[in-house]
Amino acid sequence: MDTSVDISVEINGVPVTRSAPAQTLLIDFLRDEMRLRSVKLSCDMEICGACTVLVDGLPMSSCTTLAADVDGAKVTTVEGLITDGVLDPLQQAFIDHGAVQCGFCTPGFILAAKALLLRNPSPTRAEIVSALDGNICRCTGYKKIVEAVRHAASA
Amino acid sequence: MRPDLLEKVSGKAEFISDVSIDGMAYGKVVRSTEPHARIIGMDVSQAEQANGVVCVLTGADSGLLKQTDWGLFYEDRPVIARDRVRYVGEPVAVVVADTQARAEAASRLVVVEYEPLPICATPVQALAGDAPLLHEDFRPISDFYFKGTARGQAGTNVFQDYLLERGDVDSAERSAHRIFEHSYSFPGIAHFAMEPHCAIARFDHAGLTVWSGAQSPTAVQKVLARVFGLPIARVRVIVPYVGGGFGGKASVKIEPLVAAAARKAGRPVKVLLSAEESMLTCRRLAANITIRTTIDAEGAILSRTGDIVMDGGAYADTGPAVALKSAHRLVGPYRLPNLRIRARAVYTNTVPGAAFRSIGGPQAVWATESHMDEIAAELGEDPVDFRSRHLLQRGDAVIDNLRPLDVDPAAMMHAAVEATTKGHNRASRGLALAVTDPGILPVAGAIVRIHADGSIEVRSMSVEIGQGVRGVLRRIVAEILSQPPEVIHILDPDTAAAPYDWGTGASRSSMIMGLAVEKAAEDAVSKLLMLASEAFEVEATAISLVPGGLAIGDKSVSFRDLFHAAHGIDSGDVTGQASITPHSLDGKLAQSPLFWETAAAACTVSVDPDTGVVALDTYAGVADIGRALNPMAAEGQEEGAAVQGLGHALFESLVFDEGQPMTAMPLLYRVPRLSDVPADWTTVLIENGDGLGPMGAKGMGEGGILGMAPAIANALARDHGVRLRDLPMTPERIWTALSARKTHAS
Amino acid sequence: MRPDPFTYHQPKSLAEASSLVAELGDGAAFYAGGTELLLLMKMQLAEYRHLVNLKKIDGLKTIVVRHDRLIVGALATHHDIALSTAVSKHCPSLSRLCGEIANIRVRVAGTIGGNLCFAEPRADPPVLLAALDAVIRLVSAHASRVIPATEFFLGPFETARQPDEILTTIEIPLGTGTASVERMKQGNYSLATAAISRNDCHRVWIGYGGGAPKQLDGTGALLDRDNGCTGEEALFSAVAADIADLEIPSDIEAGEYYRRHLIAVAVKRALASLNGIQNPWAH
Repeated sequence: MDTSVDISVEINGVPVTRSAPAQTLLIDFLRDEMRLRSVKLSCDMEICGACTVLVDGLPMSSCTTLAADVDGAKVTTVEGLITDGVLDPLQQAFIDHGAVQCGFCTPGFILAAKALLLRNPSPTRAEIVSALDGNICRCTGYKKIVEAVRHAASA
Repeated sequence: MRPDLLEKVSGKAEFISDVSIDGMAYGKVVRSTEPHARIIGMDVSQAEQANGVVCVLTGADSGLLKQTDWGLFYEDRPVIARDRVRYVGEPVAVVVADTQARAEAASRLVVVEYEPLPICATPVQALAGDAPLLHEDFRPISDFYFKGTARGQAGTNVFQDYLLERGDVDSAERSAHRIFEHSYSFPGIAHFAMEPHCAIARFDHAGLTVWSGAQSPTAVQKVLARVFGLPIARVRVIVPYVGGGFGGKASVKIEPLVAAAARKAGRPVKVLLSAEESMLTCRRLAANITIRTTIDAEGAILSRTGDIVMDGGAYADTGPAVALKSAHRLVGPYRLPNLRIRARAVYTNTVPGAAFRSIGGPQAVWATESHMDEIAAELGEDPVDFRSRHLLQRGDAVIDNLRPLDVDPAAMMHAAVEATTKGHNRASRGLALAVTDPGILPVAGAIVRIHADGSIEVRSMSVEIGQGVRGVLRRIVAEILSQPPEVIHILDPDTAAAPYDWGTGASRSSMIMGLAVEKAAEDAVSKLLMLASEAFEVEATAISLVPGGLAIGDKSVSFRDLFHAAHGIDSGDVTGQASITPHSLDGKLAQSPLFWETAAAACTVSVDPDTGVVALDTYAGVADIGRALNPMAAEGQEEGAAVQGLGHALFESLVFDEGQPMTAMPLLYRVPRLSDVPADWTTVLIENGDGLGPMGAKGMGEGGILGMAPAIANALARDHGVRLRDLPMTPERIWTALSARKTHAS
Repeated sequence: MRPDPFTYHQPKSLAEASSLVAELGDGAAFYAGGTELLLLMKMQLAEYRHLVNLKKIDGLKTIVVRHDRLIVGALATHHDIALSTAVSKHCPSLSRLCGEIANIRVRVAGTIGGNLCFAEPRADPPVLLAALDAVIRLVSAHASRVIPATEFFLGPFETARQPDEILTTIEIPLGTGTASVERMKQGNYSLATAAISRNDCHRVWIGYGGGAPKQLDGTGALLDRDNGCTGEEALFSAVAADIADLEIPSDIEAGEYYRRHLIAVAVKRALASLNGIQNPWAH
């Protein structure tokens, strides 16, 4: 009854082909199979954004996406934003502006912000608020997150 | 400055939920669906036979435990329910399987038969004369985690009854010119840390090792030692990065249960709660508070009485301390010649109450600062002026026998007012002040170890939970040892490697662990100089530390050279260690509190008159923190605390209906989002270098949560004519109040 | 939380997909964005042994204008619709709504067809589509039919779709009229939604969290009489009368009295928006 599906996907620039049970969630595939532990499980119901990954540049909740659904797509996690050891400007801005406290929501926020900047390189505050309103941070109060994204956008 | 940030943005940071241990199985907790019931039957046979299942732990396995019940003030909580459950969500079984998915699937096969018992759904029911008792026997323990003993009344549901008194309230009330009395309510609040509770336990030849997202690893160690009859030396607790806690992972939570599951399974077991389960594990204590204040003919406050009743849930946890602190925190930075505050905490058939950022503080400050504005309004006086006439000054006593006030509340209040004045008239602003006495036990130890290659390790039990403690400790060590921060490595807290520390909470780490690390680094310096003095046959006074080693006269010597000269090979280390106790700093740490954690908050709000939806337009928070050891992180603490305050002010509430949790799931529990926070937001940190901590720092991180709710309520009252006395101030409540006012006016 | 194991079917055609579900019966479900279905399966509130993925079938995502109709493929995501220039040009109210639903991740994954078939009573698109006079095309292996959106929604989580029917397109007539939609949203769901369209007459529809979208006839007639310039008091009375017999939910999110009021506010704001007046409280 439990059927496997073949999944060919490019993860952080690396082509990967795997077979997995159909019900495998993308978050489990990324964390357990691919050892990408930056993808965090929190609310488990698409509310908080901690498990956000980019699928073809768009943010998705990996907790409620089947691994089978990224077949043929490009998946990006924060590990994939680093090129030749250099952080993405967003990652650097999150450090420089103190936009990180416990850090559990951080990868999701960075990826949601990355998706925003990919389609809108110089967003207004309102556009940042709208793009990140679906990500929850319980530590920072969001102020420094907005500052970091604004800075990364203007850099 | 913070070593954790690079790891966190790049996805390398290992949190407790990321940890895996060889041979590990996974546990899924089966939880009570009844608020109060006898367990009359349990069938685990189907679960036991399910795919991949290792075992099922139930109350029938209590024989595995040396001590079946544990607690911090009372030994009132079973490791796992035996014959009775007291709240919806109480663990009744743990299904252990080889994968998380199989544990989850098999957990649904456990069948439990309950016989319902009468319940206490609310504190009012729990206080009634004929109320059913949640705990027939009280087994208090003293000086176990917090100092002192809870004053509960066996034969009732009251597990704490604390009285704070000064002067003669009764005669003050008899001579009063006017009396003002108001009642306020504050709901139960979920911590909602982004990382749910998680722990891994392993029994092996060495004893018991637990990896946990715990804020108080030494308390976990102590309780586990008792529960399993092990020497403390055989219980090891390791804490990687923790994804938020706010008190919800303080004291002890799931570790005894997880360890019991590992004991039965005979292999390591990991239990990772869902966010929903975390909300069924602990919460802030709800409170109903009535305050009465008397005024003389000149308008000066004569007396204040407070009656606080806190809903402590099914098990006391640290609730007795929460209630005690709520009494202290109801006082405020005001001259109150006569005072009588009674704080009770009662058992109810709901999720257990626990510590939450500034224990008892938001509840008390919500009431007392709303009340101050209500009095000012009735006296026709500006709230700033009314407060000014009663404000304490630096050096005054807030509570007799406690440390005199070490901040200037007037300066804080004016800073908050100033920051929210731009473009707003004074009459539209809401204001709130608070002074709180952190319950800090000044007991901590640390080790600073310098290796031959110049790398330095710091061993401490302070947990990196987002506050940036590792950055602060690194800065302190870097300055004392004159080394670049990059060579200083703060190790994960591990009870097998680091000395005792009370825990990470109550705004204490930067200050107390900071002092311990400072002294340990100084100890390392003196040992290093002694070693160099012997090795190079020079006076210690001629030697100083420079990056990478030592300077002896005009000659530079690397650490490697030093060890070579001293030991004959270029290996070795120098280990500095130190402890902080109440006797440290010439006894200055003996008096409580070590500092007053204070807050001033001011805001302006707008209200959608059609819907009652509130927008926070401007907000200013002011904190006197002595010295900001990492200014950006300190600001972040204030901001994050303020937004948690915004959560309970406007949105959050754990609602129980006859004991059934109605909002304990992320979809139904609304926490603040980015669109809720003000664009115009000022944080003012007052730094006078007058704290007892390193470089004159005081503790911080909790004050920011205190002022938000009353400041909003006061702004609503002044600017929109409605006084809300129940939290959260939902649109529906505000709109209802606005409508009533309109009807009344017309 | 994890869904129980299931078999994953990836048909390449509508006929194949429909036949599969017809064959497999109750244990099978069509699967599109998954934002609601997977969540329910994870929570064990729905159990399906077979998921029939519609995402590999060509052409179901297309958004085009043809013969005075805006045709939106059922597999178009909320995000696709929000970004579509055809939608923003011809049906700006739908464009705006789809750009505001839930959060960006749900908009990226969730499809309009999935949203409609799920028939969540608190969902907003059904209300707007009803006001827009949209029709819904349902296709099975053997037949194809078109029904008005207003007849598609039968009640909470209940639609006129037969189990083997696939919602393929939503077709919105493009006339000279305009439409607007306003939501009263405080938590994760709307407490009230109102949509108004105007061409030869006003059509006022509401969502109230309790059932299928409901048309407010009296309110529409009043707006016709007043040329869309009804004052607040009269408007509120008309809405109150229209919904007097409606069973409005009352729960921890909001009480009935407040919800009734919010429905009126939603109508008022939708009207203001239709008249080109911006809501000063929007943020």
